Amino acid sequence: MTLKTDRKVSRREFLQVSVLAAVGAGLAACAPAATAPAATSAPAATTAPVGTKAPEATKAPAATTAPAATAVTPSKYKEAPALAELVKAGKLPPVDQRLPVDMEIVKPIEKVGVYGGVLRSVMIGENTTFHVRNCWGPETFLRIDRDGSTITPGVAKSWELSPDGKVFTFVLRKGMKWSDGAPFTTDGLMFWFNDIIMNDEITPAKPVWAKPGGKIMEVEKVDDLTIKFKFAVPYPFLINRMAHYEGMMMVAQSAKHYMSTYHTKYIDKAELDKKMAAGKYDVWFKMFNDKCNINNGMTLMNPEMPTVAPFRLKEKTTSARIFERNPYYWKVDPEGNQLPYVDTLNTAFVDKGEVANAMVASGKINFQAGFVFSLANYPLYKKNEAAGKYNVRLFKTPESTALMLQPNQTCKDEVLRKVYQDVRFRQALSYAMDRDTFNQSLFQGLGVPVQTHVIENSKYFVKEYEQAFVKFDVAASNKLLDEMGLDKRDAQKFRLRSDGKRMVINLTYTPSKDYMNPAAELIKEFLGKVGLEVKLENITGELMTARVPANDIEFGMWYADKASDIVFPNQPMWFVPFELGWERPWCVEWARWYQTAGKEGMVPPDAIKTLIKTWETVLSTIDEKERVRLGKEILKAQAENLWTIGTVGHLFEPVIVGDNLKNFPKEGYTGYDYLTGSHYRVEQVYFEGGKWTGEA
Amino acid sequence: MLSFLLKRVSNMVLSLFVISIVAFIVIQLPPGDFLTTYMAQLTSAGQTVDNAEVASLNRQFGLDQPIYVQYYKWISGIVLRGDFGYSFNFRRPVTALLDERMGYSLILAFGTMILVYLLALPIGVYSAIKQYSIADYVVTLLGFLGLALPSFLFALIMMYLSNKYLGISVGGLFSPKYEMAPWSLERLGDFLSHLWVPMVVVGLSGTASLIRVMRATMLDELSQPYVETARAKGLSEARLILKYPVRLAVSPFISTIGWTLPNLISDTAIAAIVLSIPTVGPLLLTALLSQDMYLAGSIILILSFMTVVGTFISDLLLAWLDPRIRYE
Amino acid sequence: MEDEAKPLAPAPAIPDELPPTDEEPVTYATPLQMMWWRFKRHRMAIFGAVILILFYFVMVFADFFAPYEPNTRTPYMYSPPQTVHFIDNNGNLSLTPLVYGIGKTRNMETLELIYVEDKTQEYPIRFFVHSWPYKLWGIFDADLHFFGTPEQGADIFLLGTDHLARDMVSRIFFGARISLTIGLVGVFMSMIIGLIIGGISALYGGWLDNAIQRIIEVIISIPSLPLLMGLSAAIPREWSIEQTYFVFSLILSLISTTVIIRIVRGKFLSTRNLDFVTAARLYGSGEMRIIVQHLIPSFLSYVIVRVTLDIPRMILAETALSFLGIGLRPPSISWGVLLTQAQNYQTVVIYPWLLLPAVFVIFTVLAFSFMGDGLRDAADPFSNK
Repeated sequence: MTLKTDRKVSRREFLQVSVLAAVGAGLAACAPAATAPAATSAPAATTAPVGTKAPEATKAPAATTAPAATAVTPSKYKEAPALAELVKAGKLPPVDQRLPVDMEIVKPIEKVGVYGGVLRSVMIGENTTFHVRNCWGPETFLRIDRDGSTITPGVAKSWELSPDGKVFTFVLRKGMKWSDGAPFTTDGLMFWFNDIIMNDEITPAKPVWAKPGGKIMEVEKVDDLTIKFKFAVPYPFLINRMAHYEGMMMVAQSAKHYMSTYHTKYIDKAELDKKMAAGKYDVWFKMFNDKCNINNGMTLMNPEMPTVAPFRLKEKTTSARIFERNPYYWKVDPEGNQLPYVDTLNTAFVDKGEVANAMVASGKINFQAGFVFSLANYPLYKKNEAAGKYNVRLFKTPESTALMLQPNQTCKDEVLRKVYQDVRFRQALSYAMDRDTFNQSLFQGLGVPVQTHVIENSKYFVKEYEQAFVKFDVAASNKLLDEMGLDKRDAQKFRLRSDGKRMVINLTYTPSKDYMNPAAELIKEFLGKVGLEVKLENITGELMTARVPANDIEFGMWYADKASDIVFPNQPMWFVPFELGWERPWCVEWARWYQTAGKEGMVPPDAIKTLIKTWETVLSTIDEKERVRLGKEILKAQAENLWTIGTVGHLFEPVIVGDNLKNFPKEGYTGYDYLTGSHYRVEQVYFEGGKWTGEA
Repeated sequence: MLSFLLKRVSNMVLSLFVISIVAFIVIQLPPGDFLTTYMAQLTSAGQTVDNAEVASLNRQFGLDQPIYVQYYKWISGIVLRGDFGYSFNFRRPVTALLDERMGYSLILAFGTMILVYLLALPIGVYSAIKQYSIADYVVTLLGFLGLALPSFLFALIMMYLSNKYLGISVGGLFSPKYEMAPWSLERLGDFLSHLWVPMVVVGLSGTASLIRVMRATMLDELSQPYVETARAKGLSEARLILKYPVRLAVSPFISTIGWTLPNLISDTAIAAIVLSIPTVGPLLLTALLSQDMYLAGSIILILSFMTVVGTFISDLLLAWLDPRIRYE
Repeated sequence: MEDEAKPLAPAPAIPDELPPTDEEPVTYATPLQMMWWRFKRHRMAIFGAVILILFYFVMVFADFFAPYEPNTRTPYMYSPPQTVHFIDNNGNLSLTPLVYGIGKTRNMETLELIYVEDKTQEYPIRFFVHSWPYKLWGIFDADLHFFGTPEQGADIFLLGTDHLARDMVSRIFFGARISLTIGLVGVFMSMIIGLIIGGISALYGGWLDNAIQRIIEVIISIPSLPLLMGLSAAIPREWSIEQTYFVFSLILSLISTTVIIRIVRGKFLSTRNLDFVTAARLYGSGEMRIIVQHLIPSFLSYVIVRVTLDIPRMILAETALSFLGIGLRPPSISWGVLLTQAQNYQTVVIYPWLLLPAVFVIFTVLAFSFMGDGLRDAADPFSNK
């Protein structure tokens, strides 16, 4: 680890700057850490978040009010004892110099903590590094507030959107450094754009989010801390992306000082060849990829790769990854303690999920927020709480409904297509679903009957849309089916189509979650009761990715994730056919029509065309209120038309938290949308007493 | 003798070559390739998959090349450079992965083999000598049970029991405390305390079958006339048994020792998967399921290589041991 | 005679005529009878055979023996096995066995389902009841079942229910249909294929023989588990149950087939020049006739015995691969599939009755092993035991 200190700061200089920093930090602070998810006392939320004021220049919350959260002015900076030792030994610069001028002050959820302890989590399968990210996630360029929809500063201190909505100006934090001490500046972001995104060997197909309107964005460096992103069309949604996966990737991939040592543009061929031979690589961008984690977005492969996350990879063994505290982490708590509190993060690898369950039961896990544990095993987790020294909490999943029926309204069979396109049929399907039985036998009775919609904490949420057609009414279902011409039945009492053949629903699905198999059997049973025959087909995900685009799936089944404000309405997966996706068989040919600008695919009905127009308008609407109104219109169309049929929602996922681990919320959300650990700020959790009670 | 050796070796090389092709094809059989599995996995976890990333990976991994090109790259790498290719799943060269895990696999296989031989030989001999005694019946029954019990079930049960009653931490070969620690006496103890569970699970069926074979061969030998003669000549029972029948009965063991090792490595796979022991078996299963073709192909090739060489060694040993067998 | 030291005892008188032949018929045993007698001596083999006959009988009449249709959901998820009582509520001995009703509550803290016996509801178990209708072997309509609780609202879960509230007894009985037959089918296929290829290999010799032997060597050199895993993983998921079953048993029989080919070839080569074959040729028998009438029967018993010993291996392989998720999958019902759904750590701890299919697997494998042992001892005329 190279310790590079850039410039020495005299004490006096520092004090001057620190006062300014306190004010600046106060303005730029992340307020969200304060309270429970429901109540957003974040000042950012009360003052207009970015983009609300229509034509005039919109600014980051920083410019508008000083949030109440950071009233405390840090007086002196403290650090973890282990780091203090290193400073004494001369191996590390003093903490005052390691922290940036514009440091972020994080208000803890409960109270200021103590240093020490090891977080222990688990991962199934080597290829699931994105799970680890989702468990304790690294740093995004901007941040999502605890309320799940407001955007606040992250690595970037502030941002501004031009009146025409096409140019974003971001300001970085002064003095912020990478985990090896090198400064974090806009040079890094320029490198990311020019030498990674625009390099055709590393990125042959340019990411969709970076080219709204079909034209790739432009990036302009203003100075070491200021940078502009320019787009061809108004793009207010950029901040959602910057506060999520894309923003995280951008930050992680801007360590120019390290990454350029593997980039063909910056070192000469001989040296590059030498490095490639050493690692047995045949193409340079494969080596670049591995050393710099382009495709995983996390420094999980290479301990030398610098990061700005609270922890950095120290070591990898065949069955674990060990992360240690980042000495250059750029956040402090209100009392001036450099974060994170916890010393180490230890993630174990296992090949099978059952071992993970056994590990929890035997008290080896103290921090796991999602993706590993399923609700079905809840009794096991609960029973072992005392012995395992943890408690299991139920966090909500960001899915609108865990089980959603998707009749392909563009399927090949013409007669079937007409039936599926008839709204009465879809309504009848909805009435025929006994949601209570789904709930009881698949979800322990913990869920709530819902229609496909957005999740509760979304600002687009409308209760009556969520409850549309949710009633279990076999008579109503039968009536609708009879009305629409499916009234004739054959000898086995199954309904016949207009062409005399039996009405058969070919439900093809991929059981990526364990309840999907029994769910499919239940659907078959329920639809059988209203005279519709269902044939089940269970195929692999790979096959699905091939068959859906070929329009070979007549009826599908999936779960309605991406139903939070972070994704909707930017990507209204279940509401607007904007893109071909293998998990969206409901609208294949309409999506193709849209993507090929009418050259291929099937022309959608007027209702869909209107929806597409509405969605396009939403994307470029800067005014918040107007956006919400339009978004709700999209959802209204779903509630009336039932493009997809939802069943049970408001479900939970078990989250394991060590007994004496504090500053982690009792309730919250898990899932990709939330990058849970990052969202709830793993940097401010701590062990009471400095050590886990279950530490052997 | 030399010509025989040459012929044999050239046969072996040819076999291995064919095996490599077969293995490669078998791995490619399931529809799709590594990337489609990866994409499906990502989307199932709720992630949005960017086509740009997929296209980039496709190029990097060479998955856009025709299959014979991919095969050629792989096999030439092995033959010319000892490079077994690149694992898509782990994003590392295959050799690095195998380096890590092969050691544990070998230790586990060896340990199990020694345990099995140590147990099976004496028990088999004893049960043959004291035929129809209670001990014999018990041993026979246990032997059969060992054969019939599915190994994964046994592994699961052992996992639970060892955790509940012995407090051994589940999964992996080390407790969290010793995971990163340097080698010490305690770490060795910890290692052994984890190792015995998979050894027992795998060893049980091996022991059972060996006991049966040992017993059967011993019984065959014991009823031979020369045993009567030796007894009549006044040789003590113990010396008699050790000197003749045992030596003969041991011969099949020695002759199979060559390929017992690779067999054990693959036999331990299921138990290792259930118990999450970082050996080659679970690696292979993951590789097969995700179509990580260079990794899976390389493992199969290496194991086959060990089998082929092992068979050769066994044949040589047998020829040396048993004067009745000689090659022309 | 005069030189002898001692005169021998006088020889017994030779009767003038032999006793009538029809009084003491000369009996002879056919080879089959001799096999049977030797087989009978092996007690464990008989035990094994009895168990297998029982299992196969139940399997054939699975509909009759199963109290529920194997895919029927009941309201009781994860119900433990019910106790069968012989003493009723009032303490009297009851000749009819009975079960009590099931009271179900959920522990709201651990979300676990708790089941207690509801003694207020007593349900006698009756035999030969009329219950759910079925088509025996797809032909005969029937609704008679071996046992059940015909009263309204009564359930009988002798071995508990699974995670989808389906009766385990019924599922195990129906699961036997695949688990018990896949070994037989596989072994049968390996025998036929093995005989044909082995025969061809031996008869034609030359490069064909060489090629086949090399191929076999290759197959044997690849460790069996990885090979099975690789091939099974390649079975497309969307195939029907029947197709998957057929191809899967083909894969499982791969190893056996190679063994059979080698044996058959070896036997062919060694027996074709034996005297009795030469004699048959001299008689003018055609080649085919020789093969079918003379050669094959001479080693058929050996082949059958080898093959019987292979069945347990196949059953275990099916179980293991289905457990790993690469063999058979739901909605197929086999013991291996039942065990996949029970490989959950939580199951071992909280719902251990879901592991019961393993007991059936163990018994089947044991039974086949014993029977195979017995057959081998019986068929091999040079055995010492």
